[in-house]
Amino acid sequence: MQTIDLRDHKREFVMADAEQFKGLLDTLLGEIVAAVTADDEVAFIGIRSRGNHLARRLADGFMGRTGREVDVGALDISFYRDDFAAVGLHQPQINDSRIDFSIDGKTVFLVDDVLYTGRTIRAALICFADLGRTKCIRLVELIDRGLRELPIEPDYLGMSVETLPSQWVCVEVVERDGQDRALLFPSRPKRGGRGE
Amino acid sequence: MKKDLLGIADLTPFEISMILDLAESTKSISERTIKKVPTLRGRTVVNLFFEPSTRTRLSFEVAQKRLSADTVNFSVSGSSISKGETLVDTAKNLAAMSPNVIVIRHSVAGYPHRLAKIMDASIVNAGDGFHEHPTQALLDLMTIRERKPKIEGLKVAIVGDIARSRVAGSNILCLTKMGVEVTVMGPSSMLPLHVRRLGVNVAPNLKEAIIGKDVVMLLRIQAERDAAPRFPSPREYNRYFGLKMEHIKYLKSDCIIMHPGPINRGVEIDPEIADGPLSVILDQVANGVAVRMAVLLLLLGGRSIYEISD
Amino acid sequence: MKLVIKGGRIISPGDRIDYVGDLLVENDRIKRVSRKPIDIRDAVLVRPGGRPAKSLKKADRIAIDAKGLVVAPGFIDIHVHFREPGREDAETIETGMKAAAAGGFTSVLAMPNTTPANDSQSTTLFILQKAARIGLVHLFAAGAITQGREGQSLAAIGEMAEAGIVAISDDGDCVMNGTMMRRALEYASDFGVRVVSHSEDRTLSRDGVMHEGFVSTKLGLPPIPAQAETVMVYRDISLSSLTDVPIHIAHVSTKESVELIRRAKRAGIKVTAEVTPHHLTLTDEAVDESDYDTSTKVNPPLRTQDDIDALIEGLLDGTIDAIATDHAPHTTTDKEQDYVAAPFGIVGLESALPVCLDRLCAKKQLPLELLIQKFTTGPADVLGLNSGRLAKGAIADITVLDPKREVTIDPAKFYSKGRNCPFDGWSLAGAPVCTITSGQIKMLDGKLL
Repeated sequence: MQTIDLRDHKREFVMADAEQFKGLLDTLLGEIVAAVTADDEVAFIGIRSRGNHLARRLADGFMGRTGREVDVGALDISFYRDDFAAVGLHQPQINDSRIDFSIDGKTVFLVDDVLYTGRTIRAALICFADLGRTKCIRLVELIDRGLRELPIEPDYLGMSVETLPSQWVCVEVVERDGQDRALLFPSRPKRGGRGE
Repeated sequence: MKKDLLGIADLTPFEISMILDLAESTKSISERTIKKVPTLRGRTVVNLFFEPSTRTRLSFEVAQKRLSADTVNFSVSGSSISKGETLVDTAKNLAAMSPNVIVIRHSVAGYPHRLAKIMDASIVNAGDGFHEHPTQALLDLMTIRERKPKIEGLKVAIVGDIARSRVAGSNILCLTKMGVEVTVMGPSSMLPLHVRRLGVNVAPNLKEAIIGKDVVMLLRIQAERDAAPRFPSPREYNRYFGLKMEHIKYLKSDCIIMHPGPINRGVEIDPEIADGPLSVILDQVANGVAVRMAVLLLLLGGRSIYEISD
Repeated sequence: MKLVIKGGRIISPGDRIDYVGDLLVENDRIKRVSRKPIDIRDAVLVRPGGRPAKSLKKADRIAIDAKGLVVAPGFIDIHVHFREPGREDAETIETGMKAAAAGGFTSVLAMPNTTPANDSQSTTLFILQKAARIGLVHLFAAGAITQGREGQSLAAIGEMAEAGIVAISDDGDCVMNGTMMRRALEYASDFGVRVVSHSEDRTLSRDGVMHEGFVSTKLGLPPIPAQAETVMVYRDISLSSLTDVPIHIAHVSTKESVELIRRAKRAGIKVTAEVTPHHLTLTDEAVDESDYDTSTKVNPPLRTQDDIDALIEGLLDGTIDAIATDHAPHTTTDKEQDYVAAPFGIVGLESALPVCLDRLCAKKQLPLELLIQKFTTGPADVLGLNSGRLAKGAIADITVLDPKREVTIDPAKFYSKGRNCPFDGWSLAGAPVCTITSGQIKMLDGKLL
């Protein structure tokens, strides 16, 4: 996959509009459907607060294309972050995880919107350890913005961009923000503490 | 959050809501199979109890352990902290352990406040003299909030030893701050001078205290081994001030009955009521752990919470 | 040895002097007070607030330039606690006397709650002899009323009187038994010692640590009702009336006490009273504002503004005869405990004058002359001392004040060992600038010589 260099952007930039967004998800879905075998017990678990919506969409799409029922869940990793000491809680309202099924033996597609340092995924993996023993976990990311601090790479990736640490990448989803978009800002906006 | 939680007196209504919102999330941790998250891993919390207290200390301990913090327990009866040791010496001895949080219960008001002035660690007041017991008031409010969607305008009665109850002290502050109408009642020998200046109504008897109330809170009564006890006997207390089955008919049908525990069955409350459908006493206990977890997280969680809260 | 104080405003209510003039001291006596200038040759010139004078110790002719300053009889504090014998870690007779001289006092009455209590001739002699050797101020001793101050039987009042006590008191504690107090009054009258009462009904004050009011409710501390004092003040006044023996009420703190004493005086009962500077300036709010600082813990406790107003009224109309500090030093170790465990007590010798000059005279319309009277003839007459005056031939005890000198109270710099001071950090206008005891300069500009 080609990596797009966005490091020179000094103003707000729409990396993907609604149509491109749909395209990214469709590509990801296709790859996932192709990879899954008949024996796999599939589950889609998305990381709050946007990954869970993407997970729901991928799950619905999966069921639509394959006719197979799959489990869907949402993971809140606020209590599992390793930067709690410096950063504290990212939001006062924690919606908490919602995984109403056992993950034992499942092929879990862990869905996240933006991959950055990798700490969110690390926290998610610790969380999974408490929940059970999966057959395997595959990481699905919409966007990879680079600047990894841990050895974590996506198995399925929509878009790869190169960014500076000072820049801010975020994703908006219809279910929460009214529209589907991927955005780049030259610096972190004052309001809101949405995690990477 | 400030550095310490010394009393409801220092909290704004917004901060109170923030703690309760977070407590809703921490409560769900206690409902999972694995009741533990790693958030406070590596942090040290010291429980410094100058007064014996099994349930409050246990509640704090469970909260600490569920957040993966390390707990160190000191109780005076275990004589690890000598009575009469100066505040400064106590502070120095504690500081040598580099604690992040110190949870203190002391029989004299103001002790946590003096310690908070000279220590870097965050101080949580688990009860100081007749003054405050802030986490109790917070868990009480959380319990009320679970049953009553709108806090403002509720009518709450607090019955018992108002003069010497830190539970009453913190609850009166907390509830009045949140727009609740508070009525107190108890033997006059147990009401403080100037009680009305606390912003509460005073009911002349139990029936008037509980009629039309959304919440009735009973306080624990202890027999007084005193040269001048403030009431003759537990039997007489129960007769004139205890909540009994015959009072049920005066209660609103959706009234909830609360008690900070431990209950003196047959003194301030009849067993059938304590165990009955109106009682939320067990919920209070569960909420205690959740609230204490939320308080620890907010005290240790850096300053980002302010950036979010605008 | 000749010493002249020139050009100050000389105020001595006991001698009806209030004019600008000069005062001459010869050896240890007052020689002359005059509106006309008095000059002595070859005198070393001293200006308080000016450059330090060299070799004052050796000089036998000294002239003090007191222009703009106030010259008064040496101030008397009839209520101090020096902790020797027994608690020399908290204060010694020496450090206490230093604190007194630094604070502008030339005489003090030392209370007997030492360890052992001053209830015998030997302890009295020990204290008086030690004080005499140090010589910074005149130390008068009070003996205990009861043996060991336990309230059970009379102490050796006669023998202590022979040794030189001028008063008896169980201060720190109240003689709770009415008949015991009656006997004390009767017996004391035979020996000419004044009975000083710490009026507190312990069955009402019990385990209280602060004034019972809205603040004690708010702060959750065990309370002391005002009536604990009032009830006992009434008892003590009644006993004085019954026995026709004078009684002096220590550290009056409530409005009701002032009213009782006023009525008693009108009825001709021989009661006198004193008040402390802290009871005239601080309320129970100080406990809250200081976040439970035990430097606010004192017995009787700090009360309300209504009480303060009544106490000041009591000073103005003569109901209260004297201001006395109840200087009560404690070690930091003892005070640095929780509010219940910490002992009661506040030091006062080195803050009294700035607090009174700034907060009462400059701010509250207590005339300076009246303030001086409450520190001179007031206390002297309570104890029947031949003191507090600048008459020719009197012992030369003199306090020189600068009503404009700005000071900041800093307990770390006190001569007293005690640091338990609620006025810590206060910036005040008015201070003693020179203390002369028996004709010798003991303190100049806050420093002991």
